[in-house]
Amino acid sequence: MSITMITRRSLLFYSRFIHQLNVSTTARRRDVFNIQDETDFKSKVVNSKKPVIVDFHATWCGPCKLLMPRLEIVIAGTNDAVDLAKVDIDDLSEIAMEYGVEAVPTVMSFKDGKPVERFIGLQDDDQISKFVKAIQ
Amino acid sequence: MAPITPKGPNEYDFIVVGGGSGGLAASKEAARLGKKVALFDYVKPSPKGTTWGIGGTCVNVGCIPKKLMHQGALLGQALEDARHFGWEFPEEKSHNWGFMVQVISDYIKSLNWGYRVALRDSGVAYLNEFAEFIDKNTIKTFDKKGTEKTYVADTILIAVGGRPKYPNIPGAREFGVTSDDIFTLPYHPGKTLCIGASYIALETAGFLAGTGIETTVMVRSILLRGFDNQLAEMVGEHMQEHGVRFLRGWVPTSVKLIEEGKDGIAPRLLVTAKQSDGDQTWEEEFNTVVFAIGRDPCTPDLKLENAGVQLSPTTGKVITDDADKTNVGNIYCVGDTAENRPELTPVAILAGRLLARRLYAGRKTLTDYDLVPTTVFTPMEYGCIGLSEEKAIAKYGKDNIEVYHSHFQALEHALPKRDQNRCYAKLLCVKSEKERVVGLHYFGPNAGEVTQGFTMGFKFGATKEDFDELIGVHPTTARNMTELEITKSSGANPMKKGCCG
Repeated sequence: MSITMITRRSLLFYSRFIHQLNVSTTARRRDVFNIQDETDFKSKVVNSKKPVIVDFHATWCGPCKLLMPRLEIVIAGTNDAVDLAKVDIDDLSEIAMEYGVEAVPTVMSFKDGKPVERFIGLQDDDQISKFVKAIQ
Repeated sequence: MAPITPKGPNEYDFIVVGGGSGGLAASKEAARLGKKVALFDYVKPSPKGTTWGIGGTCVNVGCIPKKLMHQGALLGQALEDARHFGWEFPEEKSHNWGFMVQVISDYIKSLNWGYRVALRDSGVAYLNEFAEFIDKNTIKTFDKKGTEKTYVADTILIAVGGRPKYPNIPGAREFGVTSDDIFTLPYHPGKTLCIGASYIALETAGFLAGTGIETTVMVRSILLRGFDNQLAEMVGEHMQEHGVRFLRGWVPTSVKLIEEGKDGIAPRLLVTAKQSDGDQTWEEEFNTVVFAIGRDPCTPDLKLENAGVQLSPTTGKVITDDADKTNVGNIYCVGDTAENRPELTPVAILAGRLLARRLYAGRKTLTDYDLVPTTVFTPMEYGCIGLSEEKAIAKYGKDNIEVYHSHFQALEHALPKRDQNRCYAKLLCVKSEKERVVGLHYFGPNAGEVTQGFTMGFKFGATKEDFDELIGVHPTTARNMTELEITKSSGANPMKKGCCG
């Protein structure tokens, strides 16, 4: 089933299976990154030519774990037009502080190196889609 | 707020060493008052390798996880009681230790993050570096990678708290754990021995037993030294009745490894002990040994001699005056590191805050270290304000103290027929001062909440008559404080009969 044939509803239905395949698919995706350090953030987010969604998350945060796969699916649906950068706030506290992250998950959209919009907390797929569409 | 005195990059108005209850309160308050403040917090791993984030003992390995695990245990008891109220559930209950550790650990990490945000919002520079003194205005720091830096400040606050003691016996450090480790123990504790008679030992034993763990407490002599003896014994008796085994009058002599733990399973340890007053020896196998025999201040590594700060020769704590100042004019100390202070979070918080106000807002209020309320969160909780009966008698004389007391039962225990007449309340009153209350002791559920409420009365020098004139809230256990009639001196039986009369 090619991407263009998948409706939003069937995406939700298949998201369960995609989530289970997550381990192997994410590794090969070119549009999803686990940011390693300041330099990485600079090159993949600040200096990116494409819009980037930055997912500030933490290992101790339950809603973050639920949100992440939802973000990945929506980003996949942009057909490489938007990237997803994941930032663990304990590993990269300086970056999180710099962008005023207080609660997690905090998701920010970046365009031309600058933050545009943000949302905090778990959102449903419609809200996430709307958020990502707004940056495209 | 921007600093008023411009200083160089590593120069501050106020440096706080220690990011626990006292340090966080003082640093945030000083920054709020416009000072350039830096806070240094660094946790050296325990012998078992346990470490944690900002917030100090209370947040990470003290009050917070303790109260959560205590609550976990109480909920187990509540499940038992529930059947007596008509709840029907078929299975026998079981407890998942790993689950509880994980959720509590996640919660604490969210608190660590919250503190970092709060510090940033307050304008306090937080540095995860270990500080030691070079002189009275200068500290040298080391980070995780060993990088050294130097910082200078006009005023420095020492608030580094303490860490658990280990006894000087073979195997203690290698195979024992302490409160630093128990809350994140990566395996089910199994059969556990808690060594010590402190509130830490009893609270730990209490919540372990309450989650179904086979628990023993080994005590050298009395329970809860420093607390009221009568109440301390009640706490112990109640724990014993609820499944905790007590070994009274023993000290450990060694901890040996029988079999290593692996794959999330506890090790097998052999503990040997001898009588405190006697020749008998003893040995038994356990999976976990928790030492809770006291805490040492974190002063040795600070190199305080470089600043000339005087320490107590017996405790190693920092000697301070009523204004929390050390013998060195620009160096202060609050919290567990300071000599002769109640080792409690709210005491450190208030001390830190008031110190910052005295330093930077021209205020004069000193921390009142007397009349500190506290609660021991054992399975049946014990809350107290003021003096123990022993201290009251020593201070005012036996003939000048009237003790009003009563046993009672919580209404909630009536249906499960649990802890009948087990709860207890006692007021210590000074006869020559219109029966002014100098000690309040409450043994029963929700002791923390009850004790906090009555502290207000102490603040205003309440007398027995003031307590009696209070209208009670019904049905509550706190209400018993307002209707104590029986005195110890009368010899009458303090057991309650019936209710509402």
